[in-house]
Amino acid sequence: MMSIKFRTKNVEVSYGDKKAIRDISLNIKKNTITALIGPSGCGKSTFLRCLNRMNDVIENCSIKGSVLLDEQDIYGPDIDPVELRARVGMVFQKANPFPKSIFDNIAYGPRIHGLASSDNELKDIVHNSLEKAGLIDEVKDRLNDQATGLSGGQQQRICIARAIAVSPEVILMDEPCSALDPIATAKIEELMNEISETYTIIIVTHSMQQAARVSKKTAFFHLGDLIEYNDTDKIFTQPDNEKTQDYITGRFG
Amino acid sequence: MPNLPVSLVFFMLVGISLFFYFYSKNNILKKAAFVGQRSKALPSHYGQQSFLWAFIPSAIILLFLTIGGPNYIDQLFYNKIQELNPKLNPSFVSLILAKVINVSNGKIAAGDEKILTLASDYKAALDQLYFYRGLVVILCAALVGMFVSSLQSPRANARENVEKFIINIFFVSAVIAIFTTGAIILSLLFEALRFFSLYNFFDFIFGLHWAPNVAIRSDQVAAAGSFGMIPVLVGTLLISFIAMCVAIPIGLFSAIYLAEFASPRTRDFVKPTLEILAGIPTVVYGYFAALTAAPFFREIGFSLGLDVSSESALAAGAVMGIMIIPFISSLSDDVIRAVPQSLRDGSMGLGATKAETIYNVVLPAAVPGLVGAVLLAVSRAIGETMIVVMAAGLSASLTVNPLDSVTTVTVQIVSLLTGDTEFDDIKTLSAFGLGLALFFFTLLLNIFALSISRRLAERYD
Repeated sequence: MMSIKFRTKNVEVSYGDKKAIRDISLNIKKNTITALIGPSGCGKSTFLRCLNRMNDVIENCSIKGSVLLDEQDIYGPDIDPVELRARVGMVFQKANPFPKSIFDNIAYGPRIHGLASSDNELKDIVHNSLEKAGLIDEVKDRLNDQATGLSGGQQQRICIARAIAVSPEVILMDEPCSALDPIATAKIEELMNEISETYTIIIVTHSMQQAARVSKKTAFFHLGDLIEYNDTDKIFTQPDNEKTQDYITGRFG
Repeated sequence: MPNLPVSLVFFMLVGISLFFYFYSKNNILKKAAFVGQRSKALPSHYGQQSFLWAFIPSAIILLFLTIGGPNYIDQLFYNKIQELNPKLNPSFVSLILAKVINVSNGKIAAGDEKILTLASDYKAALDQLYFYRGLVVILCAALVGMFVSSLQSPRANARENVEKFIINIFFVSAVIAIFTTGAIILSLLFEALRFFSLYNFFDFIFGLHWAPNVAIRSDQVAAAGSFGMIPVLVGTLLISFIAMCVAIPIGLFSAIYLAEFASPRTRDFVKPTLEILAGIPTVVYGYFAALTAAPFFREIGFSLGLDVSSESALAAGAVMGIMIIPFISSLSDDVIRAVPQSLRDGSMGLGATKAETIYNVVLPAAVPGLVGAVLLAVSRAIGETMIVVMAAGLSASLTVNPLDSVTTVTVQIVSLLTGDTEFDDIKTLSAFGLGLALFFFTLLLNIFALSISRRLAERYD
């Protein structure tokens, strides 16, 4: 039995008076890819952002319940959200490379966390991260070019490489492929498969094929509730819940 | 002849054009029905097309006749007066012409039979001009409008024409600003050239002594003024520098606070309050500087054993800096908030603190806008006059000591051009030399700042 990375208990998030998610209890396994699926506005991104406290940034957002990372409450008093986010990295829906060079983009995290003690070490980190992200052959001759000049798919992989460079334990991905073409999507899925041995990956996706292709476990959200959470194979072949059945067969959503 | 003043003609023109608007709009539907086809553009586009054709050429004729017509008649009467009295010199002819015009207006009574005749002739000529002006404009509008609206076919694309016209209006508006700038530069340049024909150019730009006192009598002392602009320019730079030392840090920091840290409620209160500073008239700042800030600085200096002049560059510059804060804070706040949230999220998602995010991601992305804000503020500081007049004095001493009294380019221009002045005097003309120098100086500053911002800019899209 693999160990549990995240354990959430009765998590409830509300924006002002509006409850975005209710009573989510979910255990996420270490070094596995977990997919969160569900129709738009069902709260899967909100849940994802709870896991590295990115919701703290949003005003009038309040959270109840507990989220345990390696059995430690991340909303506890002795947890620094900044430190937490270094352990739980995030890749966003829209590729958001900084308007800096490719090198500076990847080196951003290591620099602010002081991960490299010398320039050579920093170069190694950048190189390794790009290699892991499968980008190295495409960009190694132009590390000083603007990252914003790359194609959409490359930009998104830069963002993944940037997240990897901090050597996080978990990578959260919020619809990372929604703006990409099938070829770029395939590359990113391949990349996810390769790195899933060393990282715990949680991905929010609208594409059920993508969830079926890449994930081991799938959670189905609907209107702020967790409807079903199980092995991906099980969810897509014989779901327990009727709503899940309806959603994956395309009857609503 | 009926009296047709310009306002009446204009209203008639608008009326006729409107008539063709509605006429074309309805007519095109009939034409389209007759052909059995839908018109290519909306009926209102055909209406707009007819309106523009009826209105624009006639309006141009109206404008031309209104400006050029009376001038032409003046010229006719000028020649007439000269023919009657060939021996008169030109300036006297102009004088008589002015009298004729005033008599014809009924502003003054005529003492002379001849002038009275001329005046009534003049009035008749003017009436005739106005009558034909009205006639031509109205006929032109009616004919062109009729012509265009009858030629319109449902197959022609009226929308395209109307849009082309509108684009041209935008173009002309853009060009007007450029032309005005050009005209200002030229007027400055020509007056300045007159100054440089009287005074050596290099003595002006490199001279270390500014004393624009020209003798009234030739036997007076200081018969020749001295026009070296360096002390004045240094005064401007000194005061602007002091102002920037106050305004840039306070403005920028308050912008960062407002954009990144303040709650919406604080922001809604603080930002308009800061902007009130920009609405205070500079004269008010002037006496604040002269009556409150200057004595304050003098007292402090005194207690430290420093000799602070009662009109110090420090007082003027500091108050000017306070005046400029809202320019920097308000613009910078907008610029910082325009940096996409996704960049901030990206940085926070990597475990950067808020401060690291602002310093490494937000500010670099905002640099072009921030430079623009600072540039605007510097231009404000260099051009500011009132505070300096009141708080920093008029003495053109070459010093960079902020505790001394200094003067600035704009203040000197004001003091040179106020009061009774003759425009062929070297003292008066030197103001244009200063103006030109100031213009080139700010131009260089702009170019310099733009090149810096281009180098520092991190462009996001």
